[in-house]
Amino acid sequence: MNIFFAVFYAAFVGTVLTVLLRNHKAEAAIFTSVAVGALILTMILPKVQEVMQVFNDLSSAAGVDNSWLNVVFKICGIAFIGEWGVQLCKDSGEGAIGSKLELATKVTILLLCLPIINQLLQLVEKLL
Amino acid sequence: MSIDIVFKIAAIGILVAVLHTLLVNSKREDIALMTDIAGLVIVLLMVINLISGLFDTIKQIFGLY
Repeated sequence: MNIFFAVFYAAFVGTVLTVLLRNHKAEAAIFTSVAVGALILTMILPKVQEVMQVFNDLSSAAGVDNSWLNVVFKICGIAFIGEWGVQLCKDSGEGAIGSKLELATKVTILLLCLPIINQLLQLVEKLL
Repeated sequence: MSIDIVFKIAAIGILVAVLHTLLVNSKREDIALMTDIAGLVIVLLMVINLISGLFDTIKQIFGLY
């Protein structure tokens, strides 16, 4: 709970500073918003780790192969970074670069999914 | 890792903006450009450190290697 209030204060201070700087020095405004974003993500990541630990425990209790869950976690991480970068580009008025980054994120996630899809297709083949 | 770095970046931004105005008013546009670039590089180095720390943490937590 404490971490939420810390994040709130960081976001508030960062917003005020960014708005203050935007009219005088747009580059510095971008950098403050990047710094606040990185700071908040770093603050919240230990909590994400706790949630993932619970899911890991659940999956091992259910006897599910751990490698599947690891793929899901990897996809989550890539989506985390990708979404952050896309929002950053769009906030700085570079929607075009943001769309390319979005495409790269999607391709990377698809690449991670392919082994699972392959396995599923093999299973279907075996059943037929 | 704390909110200090955000204040530092904002302070450098304000300082560079003031220096820029002063230098332009005293007809020294070339030096004003230099201070702009210097401030930009300093802030960029700070932010890059922050981002690399974040990426290392994400790689470690989500198992991306």
